[in-house]
Amino acid sequence: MSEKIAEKAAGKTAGNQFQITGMTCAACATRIEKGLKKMEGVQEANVNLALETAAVKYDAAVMGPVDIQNKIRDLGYDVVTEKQELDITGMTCAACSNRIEKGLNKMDGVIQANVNLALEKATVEYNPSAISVKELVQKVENLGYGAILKSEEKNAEAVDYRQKEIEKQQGKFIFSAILSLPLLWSMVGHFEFLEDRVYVPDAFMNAWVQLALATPVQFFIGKQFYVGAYKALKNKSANMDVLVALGTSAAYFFSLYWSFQTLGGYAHSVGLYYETSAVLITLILLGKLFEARAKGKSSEAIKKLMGLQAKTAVVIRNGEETEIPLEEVVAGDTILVKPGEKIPVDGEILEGTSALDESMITGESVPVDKTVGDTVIGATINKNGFLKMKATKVGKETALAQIIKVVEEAQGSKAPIQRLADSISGVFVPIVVGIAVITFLVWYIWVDPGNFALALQNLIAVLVIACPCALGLATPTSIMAGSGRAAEYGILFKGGEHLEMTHRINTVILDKTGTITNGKPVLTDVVTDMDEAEFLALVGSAEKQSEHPLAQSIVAGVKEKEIELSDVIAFENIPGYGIKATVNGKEVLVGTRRLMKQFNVEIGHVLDVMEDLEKQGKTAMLAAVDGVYAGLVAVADTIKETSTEAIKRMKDMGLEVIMITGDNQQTANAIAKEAGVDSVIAEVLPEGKAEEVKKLQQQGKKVAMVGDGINDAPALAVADIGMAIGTGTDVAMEAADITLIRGDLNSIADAILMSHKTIINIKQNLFWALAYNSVGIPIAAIGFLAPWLAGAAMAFSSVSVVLNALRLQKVRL
Amino acid sequence: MKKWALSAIVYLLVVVGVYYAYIGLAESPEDGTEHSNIEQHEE
Repeated sequence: MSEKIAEKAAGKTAGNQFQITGMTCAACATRIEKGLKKMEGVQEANVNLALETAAVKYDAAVMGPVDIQNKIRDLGYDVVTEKQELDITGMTCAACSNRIEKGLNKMDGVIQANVNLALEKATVEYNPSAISVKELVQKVENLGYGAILKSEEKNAEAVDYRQKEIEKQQGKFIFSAILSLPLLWSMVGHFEFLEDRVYVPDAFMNAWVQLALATPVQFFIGKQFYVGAYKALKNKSANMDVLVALGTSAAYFFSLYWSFQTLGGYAHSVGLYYETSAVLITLILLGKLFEARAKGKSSEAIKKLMGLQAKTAVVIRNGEETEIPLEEVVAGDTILVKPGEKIPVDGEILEGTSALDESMITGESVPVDKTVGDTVIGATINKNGFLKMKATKVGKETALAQIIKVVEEAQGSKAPIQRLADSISGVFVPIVVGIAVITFLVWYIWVDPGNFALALQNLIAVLVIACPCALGLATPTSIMAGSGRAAEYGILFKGGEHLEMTHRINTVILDKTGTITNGKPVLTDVVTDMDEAEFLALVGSAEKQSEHPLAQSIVAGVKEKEIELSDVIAFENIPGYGIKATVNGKEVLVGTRRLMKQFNVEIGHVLDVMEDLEKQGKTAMLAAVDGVYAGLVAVADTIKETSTEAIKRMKDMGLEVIMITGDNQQTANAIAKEAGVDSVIAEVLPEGKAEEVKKLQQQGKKVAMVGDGINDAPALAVADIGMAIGTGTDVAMEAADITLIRGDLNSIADAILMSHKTIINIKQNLFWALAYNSVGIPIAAIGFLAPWLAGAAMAFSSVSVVLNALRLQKVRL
Repeated sequence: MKKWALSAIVYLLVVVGVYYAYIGLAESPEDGTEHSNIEQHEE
């Protein structure tokens, strides 16, 4: 291990996620988090009760994942690791096995790797949340050896450990329920109002029979509570297990005492409470079962996303069509996609046209037409055309993989609002034990002196009703469900804090180009005294050689009018001015006023027309043929179809909408007017956008910045919430807190709405969780709550909180 | 899950069976001893 540490680069921050088992309530999560944060080298630790994960950032020079795993185990919990055996080929000596062992051990996520030269086998214990088997194989291959999974079948059959755990709990619940039922029957038979109406077999009334039924439930099924309580107490803390173990043990041992006192007489004549302990354990198991199932549902978003991927791809290799597993597709592969099939990876269309259903990625239900040169996203569905495409991004690079990563991180992160629950649950259990003891003493000494059984019953009820499970689940389940649902609409929150912050936004700054507008100028006006087709043929042919975006938009506009372009003999690009080219023997100039002036072209009579166009937000370019003014063309960036409606929606929500752009005031005003934006900040240099955001923040506004370009990145980072819009660059997405996959401004309002709904849901959950405890404890203390009812209420509280969070999965935006 | 259910049922039947077997065997002129024990305790 020390060798491994020494080999880590000094000061290198590493991050790992660990799947934890054994957590029962928020107190457990808090304890692990505190324990990890205390470790030297740990920079950040975030434990999520709902996902049962710990995300840890640490200094790789100081520690490694094994230290973190050991710490978690020391705290009384377990870390899910997997072992994989690899058959290694190509090893010739001990140096080879050492090299592979060192290489594997250096990988983040590998707990321990051992390579056996004689058996030609590597056994790797690794953290499945941090690293995949494929990466292990890749690493060995990169080191120059071959690696084959020892048992592919075994690996494929590996069942999700959560599912296994649920099945085990189900079995335990059924076992516990079958043995508790006769005990409950005997108890019901003793209700005064039912005494003569319910038949109870003699056997169930016997104390020894009751003892025989309650004992396996108490110690075999209930072992998990004793183990949990022991681990917690060993670490000088208390959790739900402590309360359950205390409550059920009190009932069980009190009954055991009386069983011996009466030498196995009839149960309720002497106040036996075997049914209390057994029924309590059964109900708590039932609650946990529901909870586990509901928790599983809240992570469905990820499962759904993962299920979107195609399994195979048809590639052309060595001139032959071959169907290969998706993992084997590499960037640059030529892939064939038939109608109705899924696009396997991200890429670019080489041949064919089709409509693609991108709804699974963008949330946009209308299929998008794609043709040669267009980019396609993996996991989208090719509706009707045959496509030949080139793979550009594979594996972890694909849009879908990125989305899954962002959603996973968001679901595992903590919202600041959770601090309240964490701080309460940290001190909750000791306080509850105190209240339970006081309850017992008050009843035993004061209310009903000497009635030990009644005092004990109330003590048990207080212990059980007060379990803070619901409190611990309140926030993370809502965050999981909320961020998962948002992802289905193409809104990716990077973390719980952003999901929480977004609902406070009151000002939205929209970048103009690519955000409000399409970011692609189109030819809008042609003013000429010549024949328009002839004029456009000359201008288009001349501009064909230019790589300037405006030139390309003119060429595209000309082509759209089905005008044939001619060959250019001579072409000169005059930067900042325009172009000069010879087309069909004629000298063509296209460019600015300055270009015309340079070549002494008279343009005085068209300046008014030009200014009018500029006032409308258009860029006008003059053209001259053989030294004489011939006409002008104007291009403009068009507003997205949905922008105007989306901006109105934001204004209706009470948000202040501001447009920011580097364009001149006149152009900016024209676009803003068309889009319905009231405030405009124009002529802002790229680096000035962040300054403008800061100015608004200084006025006390909570600002969301929405942009798509690299130059928006500083402003996105400075804003309270940075939103990178759909077609945005990777840099903008990296700096943003929210990525809006759909290039539609409606996503901004949707994101804010989703945040509102999630926060309301969290508050409801926190309220109910606290209400259960704060109302339940006094009711139990004054003796109005039978212990088994307290158990049922406690189980119901956790389930109701999770079910409430799941409502977010049905939200319609 | 069936395994768990079956184990519980078998265990329950064994416990109840043992109880009735014991009662059957203990059936004697002194029948009712247990009841009287409890009554005494209650007093």
